[in-house]
Amino acid sequence: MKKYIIEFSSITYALKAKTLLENRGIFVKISKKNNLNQTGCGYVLVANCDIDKVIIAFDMNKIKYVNYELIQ
Amino acid sequence: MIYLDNSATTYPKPKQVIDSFNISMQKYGANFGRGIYDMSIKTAEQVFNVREKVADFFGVPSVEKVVFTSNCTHALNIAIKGVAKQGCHFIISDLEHNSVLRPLEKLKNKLNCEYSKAKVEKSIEKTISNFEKLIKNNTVAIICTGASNVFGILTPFKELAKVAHKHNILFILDASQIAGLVPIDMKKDDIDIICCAGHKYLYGPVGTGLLLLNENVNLDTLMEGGSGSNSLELSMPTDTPDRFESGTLNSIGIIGLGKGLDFLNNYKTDEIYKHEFVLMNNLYSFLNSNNYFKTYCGFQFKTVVPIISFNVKGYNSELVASELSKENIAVRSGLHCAPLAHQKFNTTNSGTIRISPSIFTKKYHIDLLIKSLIKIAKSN
Repeated sequence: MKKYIIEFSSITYALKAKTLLENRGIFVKISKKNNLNQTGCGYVLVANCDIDKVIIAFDMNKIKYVNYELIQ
Repeated sequence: MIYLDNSATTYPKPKQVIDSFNISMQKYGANFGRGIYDMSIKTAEQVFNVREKVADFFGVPSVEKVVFTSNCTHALNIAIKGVAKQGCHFIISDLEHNSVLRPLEKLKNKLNCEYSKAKVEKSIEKTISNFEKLIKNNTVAIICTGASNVFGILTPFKELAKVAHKHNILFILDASQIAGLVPIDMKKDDIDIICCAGHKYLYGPVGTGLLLLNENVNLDTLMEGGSGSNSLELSMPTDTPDRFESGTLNSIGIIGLGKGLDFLNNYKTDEIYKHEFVLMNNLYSFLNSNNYFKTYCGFQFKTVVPIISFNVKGYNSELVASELSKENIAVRSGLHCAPLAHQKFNTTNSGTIRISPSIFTKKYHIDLLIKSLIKIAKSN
């Protein structure tokens, strides 16, 4: 499993995603974005996961994410 | 004190709501959605849990469509002003509260909007027809209270939602007097917007309210400010709930509201309604059978919420409330911020005394009220 950072537009979406992933046995950590890019601050989830399956789950549950990035 | 003003706000609150304040002030005192430290995240999780409870309770399609406000008036202002555009038209019932009327009056002056009042009648078919015949090309929404805060009359809000959608207009429900007493399901009943107080029959603390949005409802913002993310972006977020939750929220109150919902979930559907209806039915029978008193509309199961407005003949309503207060009985008197309802029943000059129980009201409270009313009536 690879480690990803998944960015969300608000704490609500981050927590919605956290609940979904933890219900599927994926342990996540909430954190803040390291870089303040074009839009500024935001919340991220850090998770060891199969990102393709996670994105499909997000889409099925209408969870909006901004971006994701592989970190290791 | 015998408290019978629960339509204004419920009192007392359940023990778990009261206890939650002490716990929240110590453990969840952070401004959530801003920091990354432990208490901020824990506070955010507590608030999120309440969003989930609210979504479940009201059948809201997704948790992010639950917006916390400071009260129902705040929620109604967001809804009404968020939908309004230049020259548009609204339809309201002839029972609406000033939290609907005053924003519409402001829009009349500001955006040249107009509104029409539909008569709520005993017949559901006639009521529906009264609303439907007022729909025009520029009508954007029907706004209707779930029940009159003065006379308790239940409106056919589910049928009105259908009528609104038949004509491609929005339906906005003021659920202040029915949430917690009458089942509401946003999805099943296809209601576009529900505005609600957290501190009435949901047994949450004052300073809490709800704006619930169905899918595909888009509103302009009422207030702009910090949302805790994307700070470089100078427009409010497009996503809910952040779009409508700028500034620091009353997280302590919200957590208390969650405990209120937990309290309600201890009761079966209708249980609280039936408890209160029996109490008020006894009061209504007494008032109606006694020449000292005047009631204004019927009181039948499932046609009203358990609220009774009446007068003591020969007395101003405020005076009666004052006399009851001396007996440590708390009631509401006057016009209840609902001028239309009083115009409907010709009680604008006198106002009315309003009795509204809660799950904590006991039979002996009503017996003592009756005893005091007889004493006041006979002293004239």
